[in-house]
Amino acid sequence: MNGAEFFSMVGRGFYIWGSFGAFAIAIILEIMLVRLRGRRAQAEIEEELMAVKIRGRAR
Amino acid sequence: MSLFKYASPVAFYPLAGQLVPWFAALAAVFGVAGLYLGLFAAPEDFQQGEVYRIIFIHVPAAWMAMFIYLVMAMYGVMALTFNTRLSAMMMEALAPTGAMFTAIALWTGALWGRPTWGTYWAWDARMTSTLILLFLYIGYLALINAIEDKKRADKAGALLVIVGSVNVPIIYFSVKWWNTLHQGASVSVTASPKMAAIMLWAMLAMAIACWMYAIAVSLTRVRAIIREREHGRGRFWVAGELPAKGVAGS
Repeated sequence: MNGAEFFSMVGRGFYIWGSFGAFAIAIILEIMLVRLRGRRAQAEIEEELMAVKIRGRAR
Repeated sequence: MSLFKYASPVAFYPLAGQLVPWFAALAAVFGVAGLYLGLFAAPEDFQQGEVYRIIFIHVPAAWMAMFIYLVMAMYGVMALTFNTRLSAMMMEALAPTGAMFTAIALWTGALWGRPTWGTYWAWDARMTSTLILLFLYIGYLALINAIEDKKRADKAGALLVIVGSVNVPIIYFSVKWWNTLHQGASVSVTASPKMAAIMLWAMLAMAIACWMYAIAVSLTRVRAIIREREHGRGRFWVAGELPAKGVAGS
């Protein structure tokens, strides 16, 4: 089976690659969103910690 | 050492961080093996032709959609009976991944249905109950985000998930209980598989990959949720600072 035959999947390429492609996109999107959420939460808590430290020094 | 100590977010947070790379690596290894077996090693199906290869995504996604919901229901019971904060956090961490797998199961099912049944969608029992499962996931996420008080949101969410779990056996047995367009199970615990060994191995490898992925991504998300919930409460152990004695328990 050559490359073109592999991608055409005997005329069923749209259905097969539509499934595998959607799955890949969903996983990549989810990983990106989870990492973004984690970074945002970490930044917020570090910001809060910094504010508390600054207030502590000011006293 | 008691395992119950990991019911505390303070103890669970570093453990989850250590486990994530292992589960991610297992997901990658099984994913590559499953894709190789499914796309290159497994032969064309004598009835469905090449389009049957969608099962290597569709079946594991459908299994994960149901399994994750049951795990959420188990955490819901623990959250309501033992009042553990981490159980509610785990439910919140699992829900988006469960919703994603349900959406993928529906999408790939539609793309499989068109060439094999002649339609993308039919209101048959298996497909309709799976669509209800997607609505349950979305409903749970909407509910916990709509209630400002986190404790109340967790309780309401747990209740919704526990009540909604009745839908999972309906999905699973729908092909037996009703005359559906959807085919019956090809793999069962009680009967020998109705497919070639190479196809079965490909599907199992993809199922394990999806399982490992779900654990890795949920553990990563629960760490973010722990940070979010500790924000604004003066608990800085998640920023690398030690917790004040007796402050950050479960």
